[in-house]
Amino acid sequence: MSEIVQARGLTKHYGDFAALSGASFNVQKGSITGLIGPNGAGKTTTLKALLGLTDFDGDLAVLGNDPRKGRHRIMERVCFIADVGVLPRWMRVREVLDYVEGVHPRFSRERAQALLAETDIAPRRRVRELSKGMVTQLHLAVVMAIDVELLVLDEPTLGLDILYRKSFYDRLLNDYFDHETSIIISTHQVEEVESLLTHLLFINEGHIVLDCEMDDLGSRFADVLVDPSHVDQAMQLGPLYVRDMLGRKRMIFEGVDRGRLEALGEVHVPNVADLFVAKMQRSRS
Amino acid sequence: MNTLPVLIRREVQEHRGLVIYTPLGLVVFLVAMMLFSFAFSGSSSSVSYTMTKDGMQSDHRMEVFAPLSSEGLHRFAELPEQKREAWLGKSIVAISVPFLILLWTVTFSYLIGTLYGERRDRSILFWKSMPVSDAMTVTSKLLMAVVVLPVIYFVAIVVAQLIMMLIATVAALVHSVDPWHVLWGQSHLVAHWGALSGWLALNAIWYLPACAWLMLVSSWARTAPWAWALAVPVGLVILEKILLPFTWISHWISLYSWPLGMPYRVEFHPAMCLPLMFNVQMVVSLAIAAAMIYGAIYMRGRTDEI
Repeated sequence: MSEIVQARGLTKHYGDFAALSGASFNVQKGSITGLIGPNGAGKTTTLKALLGLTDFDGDLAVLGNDPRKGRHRIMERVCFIADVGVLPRWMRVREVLDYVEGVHPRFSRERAQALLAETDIAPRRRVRELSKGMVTQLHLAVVMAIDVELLVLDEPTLGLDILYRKSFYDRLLNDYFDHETSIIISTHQVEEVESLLTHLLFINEGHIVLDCEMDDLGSRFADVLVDPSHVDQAMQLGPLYVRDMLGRKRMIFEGVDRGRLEALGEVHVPNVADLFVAKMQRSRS
Repeated sequence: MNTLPVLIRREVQEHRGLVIYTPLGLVVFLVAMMLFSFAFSGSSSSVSYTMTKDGMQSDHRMEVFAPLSSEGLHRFAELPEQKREAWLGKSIVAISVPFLILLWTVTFSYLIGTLYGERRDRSILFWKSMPVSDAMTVTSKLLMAVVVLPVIYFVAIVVAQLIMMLIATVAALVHSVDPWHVLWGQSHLVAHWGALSGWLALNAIWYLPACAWLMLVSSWARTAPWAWALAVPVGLVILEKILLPFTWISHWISLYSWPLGMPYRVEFHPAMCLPLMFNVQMVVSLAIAAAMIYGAIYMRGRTDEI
């Protein structure tokens, strides 16, 4: 697989605050990467750097180009939805389509209209008359009708109700993703995206604290429900994270041989939310 | 892909109020006024006034004829040709004045709001997700201000003037006055339009430093762009007064803050403005304008939502 994004030592300061302090990572072609971190971890700054929306220090190549030089050229091959509700409120749905058709060489109006036909959004409605969920549907329909190589979603479902959130990701996965396109999603709602990711990037305080394929999760990490008699033994193996659960200890281990762990209790692949908590606590201590 | 027309179309769509409804509203208002005066032009009225001259008071009475009444039109037709020409010319020019004042206000408020507004409502994140360069965006907004708006207001002026002439023609026909002889023959409408469009074109160039300044402020101000747009020049003027022995900055700022000499005279010709336009000062001013536009493009590339 080839790399669509290569980032080395991304650094960005807002006054004294370091939004990014030397973040390095790659994004593979055809992957769905989750950029996951708590609020203020540097997610949005990372994505803005990728999209040429902010200055930064470090080396960054997006589809082989430096986004600091010529955002508009990269935007022919990259699309993004930044948060919800950035579509201009005065615009009519029809005018949004007219505009994108006029400026984007890879936009298919037929496809956008077909996608919109499945929603309740009428072409003459103004964006300000639509609910938050409908605005997101509209934006997604526009973006899905653009044939790009990289789609960047920054907290795309923030503030939406559960029905819209669910259909947003279903749509993305079923109607859009085709392994030619790569997707980067930033979110702090881990559970929501867990099932669709192929790659995980955890970010905290401007650093990448985990860079892992979803398929490798089981071989790198283990979630063990430790038998009470083996707690001391388990603690010696240096768990990332320990939690009391119904009178037993649950521990997450990184890079410990599975055979040794199975002797201590039930072993599972940790879910992303638990791993996230483990990693965040680890990077804070 | 030629995106400039698409960008300008979207500016027009966003600012339908300024581009269509405001000038249209003024046309409707002026026409309503004319029709009103036509409908109530049956009688003449008299005005009494007292004049004091050399310590002596004298009472006067003046008969005022509504211009579109039978009496008014017949009296007008009897005037010498030169007087008729002058009176018509003044009326035609007078119609354009409210449009030009409106154009000036609308242009400046459009420019000060445009790059600020897209950051404040965060739509800049949508615009920037499209393959359109910042230079192209800023250019489209500048063209909107110096080409699209003047053209539209010019059309509105022409429409208002034609409607005025038509109403006067109907009035003349109703009162059996020859409209060609009294109105159209002396109106010099086409010459007036030529002069007006020439002035608008020159004025668009004259406007550039002010337009560029407003766009620059709009591109970086985080709050109250209007306040910045006014405070910085006022501050410069004060500083210059205190610190420097000359008044170049004050002179320069006051010169370009206003439209290029209003074409209020009937005998106005754009060539009268040319000495103001073709000199070293204008070249320097345009260079400063270009630098400020570049600054606005630079800032647009580096800012996102407020």
